This record gives sequence, structure tokens and C-alpha cells, in this order.
Amino acid sequence: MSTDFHPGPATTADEATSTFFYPPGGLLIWIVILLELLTFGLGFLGFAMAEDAGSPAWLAARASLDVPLATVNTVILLTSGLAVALGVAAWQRDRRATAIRWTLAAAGLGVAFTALKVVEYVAKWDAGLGPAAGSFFGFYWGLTAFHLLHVLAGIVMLLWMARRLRSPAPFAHDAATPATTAAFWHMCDLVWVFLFPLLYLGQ
Amino acid sequence: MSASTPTQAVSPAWTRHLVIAWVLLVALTLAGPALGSTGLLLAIAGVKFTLIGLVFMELRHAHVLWRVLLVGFALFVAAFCAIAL
Repeated sequence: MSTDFHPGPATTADEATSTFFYPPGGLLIWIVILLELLTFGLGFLGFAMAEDAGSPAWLAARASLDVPLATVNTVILLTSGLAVALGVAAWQRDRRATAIRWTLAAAGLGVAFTALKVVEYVAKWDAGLGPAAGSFFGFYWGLTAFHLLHVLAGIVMLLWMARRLRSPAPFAHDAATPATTAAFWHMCDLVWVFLFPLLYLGQ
Repeated sequence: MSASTPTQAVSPAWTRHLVIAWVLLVALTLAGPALGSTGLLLAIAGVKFTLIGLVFMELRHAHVLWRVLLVGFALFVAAFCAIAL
């Protein structure tokens, strides 16, 4: 199954059906992405509907978070998304060495995101602000740790993709291509762009 | 390169789109902490979500239903959270 086919505007019902079954990266990864977004979406709704959301204790907990660190981490994650997208574009142009470099850069930025997240976690833990330190921190730890698990899985996928790109005929018989891995990695971006304002910003 | 991969999606213009989208995403991110309104922050999050989906994930080349699903999700989450918070 080719997963990087961009057929352009459909002109017939058959073509329209075909483009539906071949989203960028492949249908299977998009089913995974939609299920993941649904899961995180339920977490976001639970956060917004929490009984003490907006209470003084809730706002004090939010104010204790490190906004500059989270902002830097957001930029790092977005930059890794750009690197992955450029890697896919390079692969589509048959510039394999460039694709490998962008992919490894994205993985490196993912490691940087993880490292800063660990720094943040250690600071919160040392301050006694673990998952049991109130409703807000329950959501903070649960949502960010679940997101971090996806980032770690994404880093492994990116490294696997870079390794496959070195082989003589990468992805010749695979359903999974660089666009598949990229779609998963961008899903981490999608989730984070809502997590960042919900947890760290706002009033 | 895959035999079925056309070149229309990998032109230099497409690369420029990626960089322009990234600049917009970073600018919106850096503006976020200066904004106080939760509703505005969530609206910006929705815009960033849509930009990533359409440009980075190449959904602008996909069937309209995929775009509707993604943008619909962003709108629903942003609106629900803005009302609830």
C-alpha cells in the first residue's frame, strides 16, 4: 500500500473514495491518531470539568508551573515537527541523506524535550507536588506523562525510520513509510498545543 | 523513492510552506504567555492544531473528511474547554 500518494482534487466518486482511504501516512496510522486524540480529548474535557477547576487552590497550583521552561519545550517540539516534515519532503525528492539528517535532528529534539520534561518533573517532585498534591496536579502528571510516553515511542519510531532509510530499498514492501512515522510524531504536537495552554497558561 | 509518489507535494514551494507554518506556530507560542484570556489561548491552540494538521501532516492534500475530522476536533475541544473553564 502506498501511503504517500497525493492524488489532488478528486473528479469522480471513485477518486473521492480512493483519496479517503489513502490519507498521508496511511489509513491505519490515522485510525490510531484519531483514537489517541479521542483519548486525550476526554482527558482535556475531564480537566475542564473538574470540580475544583478555577478554585484558588487550582490557580495557585497552575501558577507554580514553570511557564518559560514549558514555552521552550513547546518550541522544541514544534521545531522537531518541522524537521520531520522536511525529512519526509526530502525522502519524497529521493534525497535520502538529507531525509536521514532531518529525521535524526527530530529525534534529537525529542530527546531534548524529554530531558527538559524530566527536569520539570524532578523540580515538582522535590517540592512535594506529586500526582497526589491535589486535583490539578493529578491531571498535570497524568496528561503530561501520557503525552511523554507517546514522545518516547515517537523517538524510537524516528530512530527506526532513520535506520530503514539507510537500507538499499527502504519501505519497498512496507505499509509504514516515513510519512507514517511523521504522522505519529505530529500527533504529539497536536496534543501538546492544547496541553500547553490548558495546564500552563490561562486564568 | 516510491514509484507512486508524485512530485507535486515536494516542490520548493512546499518546503517554504513548512517553514512559514513553523514561524507562525512559534510566533503564536511565544505570544501565548502574554495573553490572559483562556478563551483566546484556546482559540490560538485551535489555530496551531489546524496548521499542524493541514501543513505538517499534509492533510490539505487529503480527502475533505479528514480535514473536517481534524478541524472539528480542534473546534470542539477549544469551545468546550473555553466554556467550562
